[in-house]
Amino acid sequence: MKALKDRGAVKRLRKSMTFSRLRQRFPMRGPRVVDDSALIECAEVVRIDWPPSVAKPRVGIVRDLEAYPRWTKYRRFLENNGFPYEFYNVHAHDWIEKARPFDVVIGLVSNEINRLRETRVKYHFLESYLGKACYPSAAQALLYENKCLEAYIATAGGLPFARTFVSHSHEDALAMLETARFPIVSKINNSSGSVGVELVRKPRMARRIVRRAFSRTGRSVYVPWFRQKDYVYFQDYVPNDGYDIRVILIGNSAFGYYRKVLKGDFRASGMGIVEMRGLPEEAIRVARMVQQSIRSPLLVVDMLHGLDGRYVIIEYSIVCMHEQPADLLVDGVPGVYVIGDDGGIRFEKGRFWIHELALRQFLLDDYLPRREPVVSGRPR
Amino acid sequence: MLKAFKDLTAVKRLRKSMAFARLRQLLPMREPGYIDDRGRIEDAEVVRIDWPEGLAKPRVGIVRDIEEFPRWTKYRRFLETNGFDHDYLDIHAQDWIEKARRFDAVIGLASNEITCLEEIRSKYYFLETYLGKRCYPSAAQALLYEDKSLEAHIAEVCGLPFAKPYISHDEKDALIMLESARYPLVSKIDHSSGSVGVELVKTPRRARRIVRQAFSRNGRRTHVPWFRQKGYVYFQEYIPNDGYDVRVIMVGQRAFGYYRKVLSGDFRASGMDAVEKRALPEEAIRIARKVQRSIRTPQLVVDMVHGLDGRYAIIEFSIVCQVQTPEQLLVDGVPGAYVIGDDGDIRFEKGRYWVHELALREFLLDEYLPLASRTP
Repeated sequence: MKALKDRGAVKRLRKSMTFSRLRQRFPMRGPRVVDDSALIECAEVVRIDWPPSVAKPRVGIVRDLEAYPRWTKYRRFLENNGFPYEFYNVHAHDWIEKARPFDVVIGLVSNEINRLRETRVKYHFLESYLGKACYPSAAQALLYENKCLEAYIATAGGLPFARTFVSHSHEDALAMLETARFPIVSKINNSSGSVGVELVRKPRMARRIVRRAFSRTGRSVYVPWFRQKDYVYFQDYVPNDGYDIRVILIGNSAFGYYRKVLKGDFRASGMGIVEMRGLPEEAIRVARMVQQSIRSPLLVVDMLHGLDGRYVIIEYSIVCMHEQPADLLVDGVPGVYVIGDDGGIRFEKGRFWIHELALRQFLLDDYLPRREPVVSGRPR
Repeated sequence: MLKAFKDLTAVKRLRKSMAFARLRQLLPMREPGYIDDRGRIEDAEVVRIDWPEGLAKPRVGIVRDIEEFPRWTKYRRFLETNGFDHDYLDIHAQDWIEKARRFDAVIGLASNEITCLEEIRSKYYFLETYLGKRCYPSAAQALLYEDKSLEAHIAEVCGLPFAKPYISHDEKDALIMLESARYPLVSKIDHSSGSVGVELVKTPRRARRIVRQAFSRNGRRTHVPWFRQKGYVYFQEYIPNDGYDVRVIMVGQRAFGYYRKVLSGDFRASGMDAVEKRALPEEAIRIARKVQRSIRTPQLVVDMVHGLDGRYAIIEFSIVCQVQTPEQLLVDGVPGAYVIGDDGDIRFEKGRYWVHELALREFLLDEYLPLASRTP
């Protein structure tokens, strides 16, 4: 089965909207909590230097439904550093009452649109009305899988982002296409792993996407319960060297790898062809630029190396999937790039769970500085 | 003729059903567009603002709404009356960021459609956070708008007299929760207004069916085909009442409001167009005032019912509502506003006001000015 799924043609098929929609009609296992605790001890222990005068926060862990779960790494970190914690069911009707004992709530259940909506609203509430610190924060959760917002921030921050046109107006979208250079890439919000990403070769196809997206019922996407409605997102297609480069930043640490574009396709994300080798310094510096615009403990920047030699960002995110504690290999050695205060970048050996490092970063950068008395019942 | 037909009780009920709403989508209908009622809005008091000398007035970008009774025309009237520099901002166009740079404040909510709300939530968050603009509604207010679950959560934590909600994002938990519920219940969905998507659930069996559908792989159908109730249920205790919804509209220390009669043979009043304008009970105003202390918004709309036990219970609240006339309160046939004094005293003052003008003044004084005065 795995061999069949690994075939190029099958991979392409599995990323098509038609397949995704058809797949929904067949039986499939519902999302569930996976526990890989027994398999994660092969990484370094991540320690936090906690000020003795400050009580350690009590942490509520919201367990995610990922195949490679984050919550087990969060728990490992909290146990290794002696933080009191408990699992927290944020979905239950009594979630407000259950949240009260915690100082901090961490975790992102899944990237499904309805789960994301729930998280955005509830974390906003926890932060604004109960004075909790959340990771991700409500603002970070708003950014997650929100490709339009990514593009706006890139514009404001002057980031080297592939030229992107987002429009929420039918007439404006059609006018915009008149000056577009084809092919262009069409994307939708709330999708990952290349699903919902299409190469649009001709203006006619682009106009069709616009017409459908601005129709009364919107445009069908990969699942039947939501639609691309009243917006279009087109991005310049950047001719490249056949790889996506992913740079993962946590504070001053950088990890990353290459993802090869599938033969006969233009997409690399979610195709499972990963190459692990040293990252170009320029790619790390570009990712660092994004970090100056986005305040997030973990930042994942995907870029292309254009044929003109420049690195161009195509997407970025506050989280990504980690299958193993080696998100960077240089000459086969697992480790991390450490960016010094002087901007110098050096490689250090080590095997880390990214989520442990990210949680430490959150506690040091977001939780500790903002600790202050809470006025309950009123937004801060 | 058509209006008379639409006013028939049975037709009103039919028009609020999910089945009709979905069927209606298949038939031709006028596309939403900007309505300009400026020729008909001058019969209200002029709303003046006391702007501090030495502080530049902000340049305001107006996002026009596509409501039948538009807000943007009232915003414009206010800005013109008070000499604020303003222009329209097409927030939907691809060059909206560039266009927004010219403004200090951006005001307006294009519509309550979910797609539009999601657009506004992201864009106003961006404007506030990355461009340093002041927005009305703010991103936080826009998040609350039409989000019934968030309303209920805020009500719970702030101890507001809100009709008991039963909300869950977990199927098993929802089923357990329903075992201790008192029937009938009212089922609601986020992102709906005018009673659409609001159903009376008389039996546990019906409630369990809603749960099963909402937590199914494809979710539960709603009034529009592009949006489903998925992964959550919202039930609210049904409160036997005197047959009216009481709506109180708060703008700063002013209160307006009216009654909406429940349709005969139905349990819903919102969107049924059976409005009665008469004096509001003081207790209802005080409850709305309590909500105002929990929700920071220039305009606050609180809907409540007067239970048969004599208590007022909030069933929903919102940051904005449709305003058809400059008479949102009539006491003995006289238009006006209740003014709540610093000592808590409530007195009636005559006058015809566009609520949106007062709300915009409130935003400028309460939200824009304090931040602007701090900015060097």
